[in-house]
Amino acid sequence: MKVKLSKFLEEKIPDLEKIVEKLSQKYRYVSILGNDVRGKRYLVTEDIKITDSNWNERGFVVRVYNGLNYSEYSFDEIDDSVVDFVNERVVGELEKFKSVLESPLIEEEKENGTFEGEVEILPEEIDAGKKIKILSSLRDRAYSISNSLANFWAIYEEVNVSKIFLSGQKHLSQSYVWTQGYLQAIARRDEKTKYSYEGYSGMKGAEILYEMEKGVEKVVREAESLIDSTSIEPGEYDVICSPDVSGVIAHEAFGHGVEMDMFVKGRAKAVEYLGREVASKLVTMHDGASAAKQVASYFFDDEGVIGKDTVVIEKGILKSGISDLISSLRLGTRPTGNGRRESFERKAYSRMTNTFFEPGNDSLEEMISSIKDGYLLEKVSSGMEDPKNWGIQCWILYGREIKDGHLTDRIVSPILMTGYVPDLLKSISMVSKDLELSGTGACGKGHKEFVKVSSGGPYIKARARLG
Amino acid sequence: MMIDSIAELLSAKVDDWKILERMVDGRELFFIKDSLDMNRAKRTHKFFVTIYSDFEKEGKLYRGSSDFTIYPGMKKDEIKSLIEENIFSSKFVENPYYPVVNEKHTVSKIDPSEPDLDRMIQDFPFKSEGVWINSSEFFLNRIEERIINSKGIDVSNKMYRLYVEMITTAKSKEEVELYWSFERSYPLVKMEIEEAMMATRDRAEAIPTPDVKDLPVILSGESVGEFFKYPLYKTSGLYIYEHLSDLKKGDRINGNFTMWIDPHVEGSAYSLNYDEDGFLCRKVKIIENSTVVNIWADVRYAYYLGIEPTGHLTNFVVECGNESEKSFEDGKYLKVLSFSDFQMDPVTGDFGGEIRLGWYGDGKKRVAVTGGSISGNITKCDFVLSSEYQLTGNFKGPKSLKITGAQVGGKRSTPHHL
Repeated sequence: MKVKLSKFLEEKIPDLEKIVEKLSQKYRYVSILGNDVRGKRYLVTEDIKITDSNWNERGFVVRVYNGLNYSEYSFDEIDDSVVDFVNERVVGELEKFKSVLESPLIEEEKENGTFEGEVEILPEEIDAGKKIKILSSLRDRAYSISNSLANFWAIYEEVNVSKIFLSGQKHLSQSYVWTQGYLQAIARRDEKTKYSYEGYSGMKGAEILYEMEKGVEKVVREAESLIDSTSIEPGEYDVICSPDVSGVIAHEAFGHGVEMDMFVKGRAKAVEYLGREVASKLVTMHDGASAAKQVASYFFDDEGVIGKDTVVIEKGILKSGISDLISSLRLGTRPTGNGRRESFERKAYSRMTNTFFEPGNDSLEEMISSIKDGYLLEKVSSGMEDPKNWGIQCWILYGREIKDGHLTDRIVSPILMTGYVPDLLKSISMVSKDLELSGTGACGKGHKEFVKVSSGGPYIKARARLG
Repeated sequence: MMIDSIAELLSAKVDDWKILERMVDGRELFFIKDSLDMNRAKRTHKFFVTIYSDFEKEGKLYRGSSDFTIYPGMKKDEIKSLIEENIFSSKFVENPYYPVVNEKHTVSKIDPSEPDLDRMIQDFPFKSEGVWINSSEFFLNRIEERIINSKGIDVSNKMYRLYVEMITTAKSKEEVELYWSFERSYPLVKMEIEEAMMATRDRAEAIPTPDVKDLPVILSGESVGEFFKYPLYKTSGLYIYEHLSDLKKGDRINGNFTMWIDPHVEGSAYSLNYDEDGFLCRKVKIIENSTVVNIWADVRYAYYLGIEPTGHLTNFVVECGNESEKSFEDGKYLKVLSFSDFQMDPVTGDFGGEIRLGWYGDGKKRVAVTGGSISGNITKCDFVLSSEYQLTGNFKGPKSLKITGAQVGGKRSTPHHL
């Protein structure tokens, strides 16, 4: 089923075009992004909650070239005051500042286009009652499997995205749906509490609800087994990273590290390494809205640039960064369609989309049998990067011990993986044939500006510091 | 007024409802070094609505609910259809009954003064000897809220929220940086920025964190507030109702500390009179000398647990200890000021983070260290609180915390500096 553009946005186009026209009499570049994102989140646990999705938004952001650089105004009420407000309160305050950093003028080519996503089942085709019933049955099944469960969460979230981008040269629109599901089992024995989770996501509709059933037993058994887990002895180990852990390494290591607004600020060490070896020859890494079909896929970014597939690392060599529009103008490079905003209320930055390592030729079995003393790392909780100094931190839910080429019954949890990015990536010695992407998380810049991203890859074998 | 029209539509359809109207007027400034890179403004206006549907099933009273947002410019038909859709959805939400707020309290309004952003930027020390502000972002929001419900509650909050993010850079053999963020209702002072710059100079000279065992770890700065999120959430009505916590009054937590929920911490951007339900928030002691003395909960979970509500979380305060930060540095220690991302898991008590800047000391000398990590579980650690206090986000409490029982993962070599 095709996803139609929001009626609200369609109706607002004439008013927005008038604003662009009026402001264009004064400014050499004017654009407006209009967002209407509608979604619901259904949570079934001890109690039930139906709330708006955290990704919901409805409003507009206008950007003008003020003669030196760019000024923006985010608003959600269209009236006669918008133009005056931009002139007086936004551009008007520039004179307060002693030093203003100049930016080149955006020169656009004519571009019109529309994109309508397609899903199997549109979220509105299944009513709230049925969604709650499905999630409740997942919860009830979980409790029937184990009596160690302290709690179980079944979450389903549907998000319908509509965006329009208008400027002197561009008239773009896109509408699509993404959904995600989440199962979390919390097990407790005596004083010890542990949990595990399974995530589901994609450019999919309500059909994702039916994929979640298969994860219930797995997540419950994992949570139960984690109660018996022990702490890891801090040290360096041979590790195999599952696809979601690989994905977070890609994301943290050379995703944030090549966001090109960081190049402009002189905050990225990667700028010195373009064209140089930064990883093992087995490593090829992509980022891009069109590089995969996952929750961060789109037709155009929040600056009206068409989404692309960027090869960041090719056979170990750093090839390219990912860029927003203004950074690319300053650097003299081509924008890569990575200018993204948390919402219409926020600034656009260079941001990741779908970030992943390409698959290789090894099998998981071969990788396990090659390790004398190490761990198979599964399920990532969070990650953090240091683009200037190339430190990396990943919280991993658990590791399964490998001794003499075999998995043992010992599980360690949680694990904090840290290290120096090139050391970690150059240590990659085996890459599996698998490729899985997951998009249940969100990515911040620093500690804010959250956008929806996906990441993934194959199983990889590397050497890492665990604590 | 739009809020009155929404209330009228709701009253005609459901027994109970609440509306939180929020207006935000914001200014945003982005700098690279000392030059303005972009300026932005925003004005938004939203109505967060909750409708409640009561129904009986097999003799038991249930209260369903559904939340949705109404935006300005929505036509009456669209609003009506949203209300119908959410009434329909709420009938499938089989939660035990709970009331909405119906007690009216009158308190004097908090009328905060606006932080002078322009003055703050004029006085901002963008560079100093060997260290500079690489980039900085300033967000100043004026937030006005009005909360009304079907029982006649009509209350309001007004606050200023200043958020500053800055990256400090220093150069020794190579350039290094540190990340800082501040969230509060008053401007930054020069001394805070100078302290951040000094720390960055230390990072430029830092050596890899050594692999040391059985060493006390001193947390300093933001990570201290994060550390206390375990006792904070374990004593919340929500966690107890959801079986994420089995703590009850009289139970003990490690360490020796006293914690409060306090809606009126001076300087906090989270201080307010009323929570999102329109409930007048109260200051309540939650933990005294590490013993749970109260559970904090909003109106709904308090009703479920049969306790007095405190309101949604605003600020949490941990009383400071008796020992100075300086005294923590007697003997060998590892003090960490900046992590990549220090995290406490409030369900399991596991905590840790990668070290961006710390100091390894022996009581006489100290050397700056970077890299490696600390990790542990709060239930297996002991900790002592410093006498100096700090305010970070919605946490007011000790500036430092000395922990025994945490693990340090560093490089297998001993620094020759000591």
